[in-house]
Order: sequence, then C-alpha cells, then structure tokens
Amino acid sequence: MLRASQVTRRFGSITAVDALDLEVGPGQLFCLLGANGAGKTTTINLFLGFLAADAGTITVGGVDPSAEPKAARRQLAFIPENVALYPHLTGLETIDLFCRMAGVRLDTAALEELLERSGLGRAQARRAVSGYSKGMRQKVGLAIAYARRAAGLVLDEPLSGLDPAAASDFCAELGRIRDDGAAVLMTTHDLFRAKELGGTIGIMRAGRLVEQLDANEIDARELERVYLHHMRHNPSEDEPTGANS
Amino acid sequence: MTALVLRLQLLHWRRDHRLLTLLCAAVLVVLAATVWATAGDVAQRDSRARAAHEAREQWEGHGAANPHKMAHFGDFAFRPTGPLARLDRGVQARLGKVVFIEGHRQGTPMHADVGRAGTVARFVRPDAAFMLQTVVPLLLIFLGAAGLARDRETGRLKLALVQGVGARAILRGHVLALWALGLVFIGLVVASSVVTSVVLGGTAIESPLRLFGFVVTHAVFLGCVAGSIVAAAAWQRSARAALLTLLVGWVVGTTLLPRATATVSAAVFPLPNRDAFQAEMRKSREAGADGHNPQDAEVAKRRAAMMEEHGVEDVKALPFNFDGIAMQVDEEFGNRVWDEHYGQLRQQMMRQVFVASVVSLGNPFQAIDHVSMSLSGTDLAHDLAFQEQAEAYRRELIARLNHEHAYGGSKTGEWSWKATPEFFAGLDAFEYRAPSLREALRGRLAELFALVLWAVFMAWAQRRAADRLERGTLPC
Repeated sequence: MLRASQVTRRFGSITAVDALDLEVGPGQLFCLLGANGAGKTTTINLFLGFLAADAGTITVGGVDPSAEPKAARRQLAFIPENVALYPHLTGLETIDLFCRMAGVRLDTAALEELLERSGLGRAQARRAVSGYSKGMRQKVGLAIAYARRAAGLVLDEPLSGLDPAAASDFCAELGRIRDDGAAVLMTTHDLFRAKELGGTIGIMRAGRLVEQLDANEIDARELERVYLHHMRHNPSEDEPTGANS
Repeated sequence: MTALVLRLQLLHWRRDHRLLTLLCAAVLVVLAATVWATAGDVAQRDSRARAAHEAREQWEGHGAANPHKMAHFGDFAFRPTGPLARLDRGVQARLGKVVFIEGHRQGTPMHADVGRAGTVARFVRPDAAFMLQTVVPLLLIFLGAAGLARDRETGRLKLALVQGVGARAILRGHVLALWALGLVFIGLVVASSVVTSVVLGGTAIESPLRLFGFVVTHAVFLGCVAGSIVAAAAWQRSARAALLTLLVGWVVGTTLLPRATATVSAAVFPLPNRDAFQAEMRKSREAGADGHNPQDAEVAKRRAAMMEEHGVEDVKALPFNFDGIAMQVDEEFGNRVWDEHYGQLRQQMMRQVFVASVVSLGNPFQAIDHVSMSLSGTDLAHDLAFQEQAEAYRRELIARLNHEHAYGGSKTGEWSWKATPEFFAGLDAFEYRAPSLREALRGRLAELFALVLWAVFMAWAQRRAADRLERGTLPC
C-alpha cells in the first residue's frame, strides 16, 4: 500500500531523506522513530504528495503522489501532530465537514457513531471544538480516518502532548484500524507505544532508515538500547545492530 | 466543494463574535455614509432647483428692458449633480457648480462645496463609492488574510487537502466568500441610497443603466480585491506576511499612487491658476474688439463696411441699431480668445487625465475610482461638458440679445430702447444635458480594460498558487 524505494529528498545541501526503502502493506503498522530532523516528517510529506522525491520512487496504492496528489490522498487518511480544527464548529459539524470534503455523506446518527467510536461522547460532539483538549482533537482526527475508510493511515507524531491514558486509548484505536486492514505509518518519539503497538519499527537517522525491527521480537529495554545506540553514534557508524537477528 | 468552503467561511464570520462585531460596525459606517451622501445630494438637487427657479423668475420678472442691459444683468447656469452623485460625489465637490452668464465675459464655475466645507471635508469623501473602493477592501483584507493564511499556519489547509479536496476549489471558496461579502455591501449601498432618496422626496433611481454599470464594475473590482487577497495569502508564507503585503498594496493603491499620479501629471502638464488664466484672458481680450468703444478699430471697420453696404453717411441712418452689431463683434472676438485659452487649458487637463488612465492600468483602485466617477456623472469630463454647454448657452443667449438689440426696432445710439418682456421670456433657460453613458465610458476604456486585466491576472495567480499548494511547492 505504502512503498518507498531508494527515495532521496534534498533541501539545498541538506539531505532530509536518503535512499529510503520502506513498505507498509494492508493490515500492517510501521512506526518510524528518530530524533528531530531525522527525516520522519519529510517521509510523511512525500507519501502525502506535499513533497516530490529527488530520486527513487514512492507510491501509495500504486499511485505516485507527486504526480497525482489527489488520487494518492484519496487513499489516505492523515492525522498530524496537532489536529487543527475550525474552532467555531462543533465536533459533529467538524466530522461532517471533513466527510463532505472527502466526498462521504453521512447522516447525524452515523456521524455521532463515528465520534463515539473514537471516544467522543454525544454531549462532547455538540460542543464547539475550540474547547477541546488535544486528546479530544486527536479523537476527531481518528473519527475522520474512520469515516474515510481509507486504505492507508499516515500519522505524524500524533502522540506528542497526549497524557498516558489518552495515548493508550489512541493506540488502542490505531490497533483496531490496523486490524481492519489499513496500512498504518506513524512517526513518533514514544518508544514504549511503538513497542506496544507491535508491527515494524524503523529508526531514522540523518535521513536514513538505519534499523528495522519487529516489535514483537524485541523487548522495550533492548529497543531503547538500539535507539540510543543510533542516536549517539556518528552517521558513518550507522549499521543495523542486528537486534532482531 | 467550493460551496462547502464558502459556507464554512460565512459560518466562521457569523459565529466569531469579534468578526461579527467588526462586520456590523462596517455595515453601520457604510450605511451612515450612504445615507448622509444621498441626503446631501437630495438637498443639493432641491436647492439647485429652487435657485434655478428663482433666477428664471428674476429674468422673466425684469419686464421690458434694453437687450444689452439684460446681457449685463445676466443669467445663471446651474450644474445639476451627477445622475449617481448620491453614490459617488467624485470631483464635483471641488468644482464650482454655478456659472454666471453675461455679455463680454465667460464665467468660470463658482461656489464649490469645499470652499464652504471644513478642513476634513476637503480631503475625505465619505460617500458610498469611497466606502466600496477603500473601506470595504480594507475590511476584506483583514478578514481574508486571517482566513486562508491562518488555515495554512494551523495545518487546517493541509488536513483539507489530504481529504482529497482540490486546492483550486479551496481558494475559489475563499474568494467567493470574500466576494459575497463585498456584494452584500454593494447591495446595502444601493438599497439604502434608494430608500433614503425616496423617503426624502427624491427620485428612486435616476439612471438605471448607470446604476447597473456602477453595480457591475464595483462587483468586478471587489472580485479583483477578493482574488488579490486570496492570491497573496496563498503565496505568502504566513498570515502576518500576507496581511502586511496586502496593507502595503492597499496604502499604495488608495493613497500613494493616486497622489503621485496627480503630482507627476501636474508637474509634466501644468495648469495655470485661476488668476493667471483670467489675467492672460484679459490681456488677450484688451488687444481686440471692444463693443463699448466707438473708436475701436475693429468696430470702426465693421461700421464703415455696413455704412458702405447700405449707402449711408451716418451710422444713425442705418436701418438697424449698429450698437447691437458692435456688441456681437466684441462677443465674437471674445469667443475666439476664450476658445484659444480654454482650448489650451482643456488640452492640458486631458493630458493629465490620460496620465491617470495609464497609471490605472496598474492600479485597480484608481481604475474603479475613474470608472465610478464617470458612471456617476461626477468626473472632470462631466464638469467640462457642463462648462462647455454653459458657454454654448451664453453665446446663444448673448447673440440673440445682440440680434434683438440690432434688429428689434431701435436705431443706433438709442440705449433707452426696450425689448418686450415676452421677448425675454421666450429665451430658453439653460438646460444641462449629461453626456450619454456611452460617451461617459468612451474615455474610460483603459480603466475598464484594467479591471478585466486584473481579474484575469488574479485568476491566473490563484490557479498557479493552487497547483503549487497541491504539490507542496508552496507550504501548506
């Protein structure tokens, strides 16, 4: 569903993404870890078609997002770090708006059900989103993703700023979306949640995917050790640690 | 999808209390200015009609009189306010509105409104056109810059694009929302002006065609403004940069460029001041025929020719009153002098107007200002038309008075002879005929072209911005 092959993206003299190979199939979840500036958000923007690769190929459901951004985006749902909503709308109006934008028409009952499924009660759904906490806004983001029934879900550090309970609820929902068959690509700094979610964990450093791990085959302590190893060493020393092997 | 974005924007303005308050305040200001200007126009029309009636009564009530005495008694030509002066006062307030009609001398318009107004009124033109051309665009700038640019800064634009919405549809929705608001203001202006006029006893709509043109051109202009705002918001990287760019554009377009144009054109094509113009006229006039001076060479030459033609030795033996002929000789010379001096003056003024038209190709604020004044009948061209018609009337009136003086039954030197009251009553009063709409707009083709050009350019800039937003070459 989401595939990057030898993708490179430069900004002037800086190589933000360097020969990236990555694949997320239906029902799979891929967590990208890495320090700030490692190239995670650039990778997300490449999949969303907001950036074009300088080299290599990138596809979303077989579509090149830089050539056909709308066609690629129709197959994706996206949750950013901060789900910025229109403050004067209620939760219900917000989900209705984004559904309509995506070409989906749902009645009020169906919209309320979507919000409830993502953890927002009916009373909250009728309040203006200007009063929503970050966790509630992320839940609206999830509800939008549900409504889209997109084949792929791309999340850019959605857990930052969430309290542990909200993060746990959010990850539980992500797991359900993956189990429903969506390909999920998420960037995060939260090693614990990345491990908890299962699937594949990729570590990026200076634009390169320096490690790919199976979350089910590595414990949290080992994951932290591998992550810190890559963060503390020179790029020239970036070789897979073989932690999974 | 465009309709969805449009609805979203309108809902935002309605629900945001600060914006709603701002909008309500703007509506009140626009309504107040329109009602004020319309009431002023209705009052001015009434006072002009009264003054014209009184002047006519004085003329007709004078009774039997010597025609040349009546040429000095004089008449008045009152300039009517433009057909849409209640919406756009144009340059009318700065120009005189009454011309004294008399023999030997061409009058210049007197009693300009600004001469009696306070300092503020000399510079500010708080009428409907000022509101639509200056205040409403400023309001749209504040609303627009805080719309799309804020959506981008917060990430809402990106979220919308990810749903598969085309960036073109999003930008179009923002433009339409701003434009719709502008159209509401145009509607308010027209409706409040019509209602005010009817309530105060004026006509509802004096010239439907001109009003239609006013509405359409202002709609196009506000469409250009809305397009410029959204294009700037799309191209600039932040709401603050977009707002700053637009405010600079607004100040340059509404104030700096028009003033610079006026200064430059006045420097390149200078006009003499009123005193200098009249002094030059006097000087040229003194060099030619003087009907009151029997020794004047021109008059003496004509007298000799007529005496020879009629075979008489004494001017009193002529079968008509030569004094009337002498006055007409004087008049015709004066007309030639006026034509020469006024012609030069007019040419300079037209050159200045041309410079302003050329500059307006790059400034839609000037373009709409010029077009609006022409449609309203309050621009310089309409004022010159009034002056020229007043002068044509003067020539016709004085020629008929001189003819009556010469051929009405008196002999040369009979200054006590009087024409009948019926003769004076039979002379038509001055009636101004405003240039037709076609004539009015013929001189504004550059400005109309400029508005269309800006509309096309903005549409192109938006499409480019939309395509770049969609592909991420503009940050979203």
